[in-house]
Amino acid sequence: MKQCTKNKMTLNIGPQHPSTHGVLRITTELEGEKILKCTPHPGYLHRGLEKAAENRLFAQYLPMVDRIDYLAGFFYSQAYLSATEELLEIELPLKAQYTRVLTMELNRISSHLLWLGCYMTDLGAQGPIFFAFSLRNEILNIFEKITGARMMHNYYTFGGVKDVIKNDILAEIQQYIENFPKKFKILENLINENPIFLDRTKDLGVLNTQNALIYSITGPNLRASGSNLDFRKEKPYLIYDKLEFSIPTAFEGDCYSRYKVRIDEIKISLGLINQCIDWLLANQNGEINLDIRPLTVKPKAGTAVSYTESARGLVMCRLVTDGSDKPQRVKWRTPSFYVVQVLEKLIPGNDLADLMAIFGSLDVVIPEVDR
Amino acid sequence: MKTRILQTFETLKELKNKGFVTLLSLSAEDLGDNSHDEGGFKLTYTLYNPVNKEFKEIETTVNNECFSVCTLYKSANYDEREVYDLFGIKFKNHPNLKRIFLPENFEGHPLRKDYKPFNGKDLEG
Repeated sequence: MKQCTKNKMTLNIGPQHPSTHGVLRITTELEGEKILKCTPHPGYLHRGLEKAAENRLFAQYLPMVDRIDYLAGFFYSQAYLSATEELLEIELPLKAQYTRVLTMELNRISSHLLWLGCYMTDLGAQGPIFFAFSLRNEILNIFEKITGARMMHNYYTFGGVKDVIKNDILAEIQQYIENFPKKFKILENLINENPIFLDRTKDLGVLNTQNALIYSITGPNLRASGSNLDFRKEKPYLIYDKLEFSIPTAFEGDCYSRYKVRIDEIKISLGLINQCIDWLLANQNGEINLDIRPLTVKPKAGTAVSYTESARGLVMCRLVTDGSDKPQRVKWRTPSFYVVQVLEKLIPGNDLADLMAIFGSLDVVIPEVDR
Repeated sequence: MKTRILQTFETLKELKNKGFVTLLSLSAEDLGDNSHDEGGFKLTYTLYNPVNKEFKEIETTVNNECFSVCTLYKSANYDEREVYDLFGIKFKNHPNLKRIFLPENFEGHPLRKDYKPFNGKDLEG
């Protein structure tokens, strides 16, 4: 640690710290309670996932990509498979596309719910996490019935999905969505007009549109800063161009608007899931995959880039192949990586107690930063 | 060689003035020839223009040295540190060019095709 000068002090936070949502180390320079400088040090969870791709078959790498973001694994499977499928030159069956969108949107809700619960705990409210987790638990139960796993699903495969969603599970999801607003209202009532919550989040950690864009922030964090960039609309993949949905935005760019945008996103996702279920119920027959043997996957030589809007922002997967059965290079662009960087800009000038209020509102998942 | 590195910087500067204010990602790739003297790496800058909703990819080949674009794009700071960490490409004018994922005392740059783990030694030996 650096020496303490007369009034300044260097404080180290993490890497093992409950509020950093993983292992992130942050060093801060303090003058009294005020933070003068903040430097994040990522890398404590680096697993070399980009290197690991180089000596694995395409199918062997597939289960690993879920682990990049364990809270929203479907998006990463989609990003990786979409790039591979582009090079394989195959078109997914419609039923597979609807199934993928259905599971991804459910995943978005479960990820936002976990964020909501944890963020409230970060702020000192111990109640909401129980409501949020009980709602999330129902989604995980549904995932378990569909894919066999609660978090790391490995459900998508080259050319579709591995298993069909049975009608009784679809009915269960419908039931869940029907009950959701009523249960969610209880949770919202705990938060929305809570004076402590409002005091701690309004006008705090303001990120304006210009800064958000130049720091390459995407996802809900960007949309809370006044931009309406959503890659589901911007570069539609799967059947997103056939679905009707709006993009919630806010303009203040503070912690409260980031909360507001995520809450609205949950409600939008419910509508998307309903549209998918209606389609799946109306189209009982149809292929769910192209029956490709995963171990024989051998895309043509070339480069493919996929854009996916994950729960946290833009996920890009750049896949370079040389015609062999192993990828040459897989490059992941993960949204949280850029969010950690913006802390250097957002934190200085605030009190130490607000560090976690700001950091928590950005919804960073550390495995995604370190890869 | 020097001029080509600067050329990329100038191109990006021009594009930024035209409204491409977001650098979505900076990706590096080892082209596989072990010499690395004549542009052994390919860098791809993915840019986004929020006004026209336009995307653009700028590709360039470099050897061990490149010019930092941190002054243009704030997000490039971590991007370039990552490329330096995993490929060993040095970015001139970078404010803080240190390893980002791997420990400071790590030897080699693992995403290079000529990288050998443990310095090529056997683990047991």
